[in-house]
Amino acid sequence: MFSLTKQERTVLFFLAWVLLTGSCVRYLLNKYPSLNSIINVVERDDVYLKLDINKASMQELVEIPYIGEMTARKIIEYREAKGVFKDLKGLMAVQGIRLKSYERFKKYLTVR
Amino acid sequence: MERLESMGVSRHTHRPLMGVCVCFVLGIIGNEYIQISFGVSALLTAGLMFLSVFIRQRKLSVVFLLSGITFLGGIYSKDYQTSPPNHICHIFYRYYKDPVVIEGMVISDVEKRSFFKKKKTVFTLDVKRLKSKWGWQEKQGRILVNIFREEDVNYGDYLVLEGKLHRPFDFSKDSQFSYKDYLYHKGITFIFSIKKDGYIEALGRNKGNFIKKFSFQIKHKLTDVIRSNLSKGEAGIIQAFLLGDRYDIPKNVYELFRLSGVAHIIAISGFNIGIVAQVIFLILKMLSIPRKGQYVLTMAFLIFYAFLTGGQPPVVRATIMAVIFLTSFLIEREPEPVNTLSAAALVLLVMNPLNLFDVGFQLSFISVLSIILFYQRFMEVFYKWAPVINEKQGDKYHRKDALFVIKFWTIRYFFQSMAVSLSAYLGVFALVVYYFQLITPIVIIANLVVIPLASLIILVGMGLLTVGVLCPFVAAIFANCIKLLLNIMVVSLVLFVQIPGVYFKVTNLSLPIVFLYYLLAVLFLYGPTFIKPALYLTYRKVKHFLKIDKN
Repeated sequence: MFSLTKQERTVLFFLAWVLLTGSCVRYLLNKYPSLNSIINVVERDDVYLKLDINKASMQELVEIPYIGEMTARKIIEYREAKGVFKDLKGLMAVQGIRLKSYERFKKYLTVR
Repeated sequence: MERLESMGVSRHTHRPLMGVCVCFVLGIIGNEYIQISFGVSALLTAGLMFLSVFIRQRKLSVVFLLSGITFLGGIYSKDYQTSPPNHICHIFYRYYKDPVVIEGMVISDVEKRSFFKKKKTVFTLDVKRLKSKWGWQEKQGRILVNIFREEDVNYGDYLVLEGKLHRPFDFSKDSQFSYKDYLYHKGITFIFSIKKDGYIEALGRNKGNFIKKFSFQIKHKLTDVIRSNLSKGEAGIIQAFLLGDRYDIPKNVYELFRLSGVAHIIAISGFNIGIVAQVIFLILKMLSIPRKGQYVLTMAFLIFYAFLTGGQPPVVRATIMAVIFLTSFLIEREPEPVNTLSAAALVLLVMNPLNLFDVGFQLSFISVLSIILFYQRFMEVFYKWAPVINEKQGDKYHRKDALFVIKFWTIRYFFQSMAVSLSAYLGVFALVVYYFQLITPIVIIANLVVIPLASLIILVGMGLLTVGVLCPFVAAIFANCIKLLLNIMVVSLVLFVQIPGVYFKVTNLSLPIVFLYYLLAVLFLYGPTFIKPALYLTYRKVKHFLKIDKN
């Protein structure tokens, strides 16, 4: 009754480990809901790799979702003509960038 | 021969399929770059084959036979790419920019992809008829259908659709990957787009292959289990890990995987198939099933899993290799890894010779080949650094206390993982730089963290899928466990990517340089094997000649 084969011990150990970890995580998340935002890294915005708008090359800008070749060129031309961007909202001054498109790609960019 | 072996030259392993595979591949490549008419190639193939039968000299006969197989590869590829006059690709220009009505059957799984905060329905259609000014015409060929709304369409449905035909776009200008070529290699030359208010009618339902239909139904059920227990982003990653659907992975997370060089983890490949096979085998071992029955059932399950995950080349490669290995146990013959890999390549190329140009196919085969060829060489270097991990040393270093066992396992895991990562990276390096223009040296270290986490995620994920179907109320516990592991993995990737110099972008690596890289790798591997005996034989001939001269 208490003699278990190697395979049975492996499977039991695995299941017990999953139940223990799963229960602990559920208990902690229910008890301290604020932990949700810490644990849920996948859903957080700050996991995005942010590109420095003042150092980004044309190719790097084009790789950003919602930024095409034309927009990237205009951003670089603006940067060369008027100097570095002081904050991200400065992008709105670039010709052709409207609030709707700015909202889409701002999470991929930063100013350092 | 013994003298040669004492010089470090091993006896040649019998790998008949390797030569066949190399020649067949050369034939397919030749067909792409050299224009030889079908008739001439067919005559040459037949001639060489006959010559190989009639020539008595064994080596010459083999040379003729393999040359015949090279031409056969070219013929087979040419034949595969030749389309009949009523193929859909021939009528395209007549209907350019005009709406077209098409009838056909859904032959792929139907994907509901996110599209600018809405959904679009994507599937492959096997075209049967097309409506023109002159009425309905019989047609054939495959097209990729994009419906810009959510639509109740399933595998095996016979549909009438109204939309526009267009050529696939090449999205990325900064890499060698071409979406147009990717679709062409799958037999798709055109995309059919249907607007939000476009006309669709189902003339029939459930007409497809029974096994395929069943596997898609199971897949949808399993997708629902994942989606109902995890958040959107997490579900997207787990779907990729377990079911091969990568379209819902958050872009930012995919970028982390790509930049740290571990994107191979989120594509189903030999790694996933290996874990799945081990789990099935372990469970079957617990049941009172005879050993041979366990092998057969594992094979059946793996084949079903390959269907379930969409039959991408890396999955089929891994499944074929696993099936050959298990069959060799059944018939009690020792499997030879390179021969097995060649068999898998031949099956995939016979199924579709254009698989050869698929990036996944190339990376999958070259990484496995590289692991087979280099792993032991790296381990021999590591044995010199840490002799304790060498199992051949027997009991010399081995003790039985718990601390020693933990230390032994940790060191052995570290060096074995390093050997696998280095071998695979050496193999895929030039191709990754060529296709993705990215060098990621961090992958060697990242793999040490990501692979154990990914293995655990796949194991717990399999548990989640089973429990989610059989007793859904326990599924949340498995889901929480996955949530923890997955987020640890993403955090570790975020940390890796922050290290300066972990990845850098390279531009304009030309194809000849890629070939040169692999040529050097082959010379490094096989150079000593051929050069040493040649030098030895020359030395003996010279010595013999000098002796004669003296006499």
